[in-house]
Amino acid sequence: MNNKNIFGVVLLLILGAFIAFTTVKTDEREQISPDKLHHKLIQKNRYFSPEEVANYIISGDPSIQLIDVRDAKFYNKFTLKGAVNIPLKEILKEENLSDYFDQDVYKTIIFSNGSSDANVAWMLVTRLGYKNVYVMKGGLNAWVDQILQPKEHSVVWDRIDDEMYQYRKGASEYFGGKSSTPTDDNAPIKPKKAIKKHKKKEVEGGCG
Amino acid sequence: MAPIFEQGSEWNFLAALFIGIAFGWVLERAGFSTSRKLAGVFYGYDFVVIKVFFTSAITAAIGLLFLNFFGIFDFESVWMPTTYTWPTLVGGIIMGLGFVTGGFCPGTSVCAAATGKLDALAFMGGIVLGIFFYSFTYEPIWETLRKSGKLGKVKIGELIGVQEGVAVLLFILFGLFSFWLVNKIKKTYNIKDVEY
Repeated sequence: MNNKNIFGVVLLLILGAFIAFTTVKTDEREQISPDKLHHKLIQKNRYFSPEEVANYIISGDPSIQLIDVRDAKFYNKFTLKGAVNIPLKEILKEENLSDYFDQDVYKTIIFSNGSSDANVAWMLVTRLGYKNVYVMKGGLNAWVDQILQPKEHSVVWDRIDDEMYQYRKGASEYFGGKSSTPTDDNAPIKPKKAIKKHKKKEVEGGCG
Repeated sequence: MAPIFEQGSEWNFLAALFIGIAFGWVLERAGFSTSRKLAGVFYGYDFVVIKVFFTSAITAAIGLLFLNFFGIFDFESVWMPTTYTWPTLVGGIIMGLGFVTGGFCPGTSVCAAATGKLDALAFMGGIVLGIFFYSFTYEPIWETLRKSGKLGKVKIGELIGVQEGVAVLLFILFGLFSFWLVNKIKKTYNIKDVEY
């Protein structure tokens, strides 16, 4: 063996011996950094207004899934059409995350009575790195105010207000609110089925 | 901390382009764009492939663990494939057969085709045919095999029950041993290095 080879062997052995005593740092779950989370948090477009949600439901938009984070007893009394119930305290359960949040097909809209529980849920799942998660602004309180019992007149009333009112009145009728006429349409609402996501095919490795 | 670009970022394509060019260049410089060199390892007249593979694996292993140690690189976010025992064995045999008859593996065939070698072009045609064959017969023939013997994402260290660093040290020793062995064989049978 010449000198160059000996040098190479010794260098490799020293590096190897050093590495043998190091440990690999591990991080269990991938989380997004605080500054990125903050950036997402202050974006206005993480909200959908009740009108927008109503529009989605009426038009039967297949690209949304609604998640009701209130307790089951409230959910059973009243919820939005097609909503799935995942109470806030169960939101981090592995099957809930994998069935409803680990996907990139639907816009996931979270709602509760007000906005705060939905925001907490939004924060938790966003921090875990799940995408396409939104909050219905004002929650079901705003839903009842704006969709089910739309107010007729404000002090300043113009064409846009009127269009909005007409829209809300129409939506209200659709959802069986105050201004609706009674119908027999009492068919039970079925929550959307969880999609069993086909895991993205992994990239295959190869020798080159 | 690396990765430099976020996952899913468009910049990754640009990075991939440059890494790909560098990869192809290294393959070409190592002489991998000629089928005689690659087939030589099976017939016992050329051992460059073994040397290059071990060198690159050792370099990458040392580099990754060092960067991880100094906090520059997140070792856990390095993507690695799931290990399936049986399909790996069967696939390895098929690939080995292709390797010894064609004298290329997929990457080197592209590299060689880029330098204008006709046998590499034919080899690439074979790859495309093979892909079609596999795709269209996946369900009746391959599906059960493809999913059998799943071990999960295991590293050799985990499998034999030692830390990553120790496993890398063992791998370095194994590499050095194989270099020594190859040199020994070359000397004993008087095999000369050839440039094609």
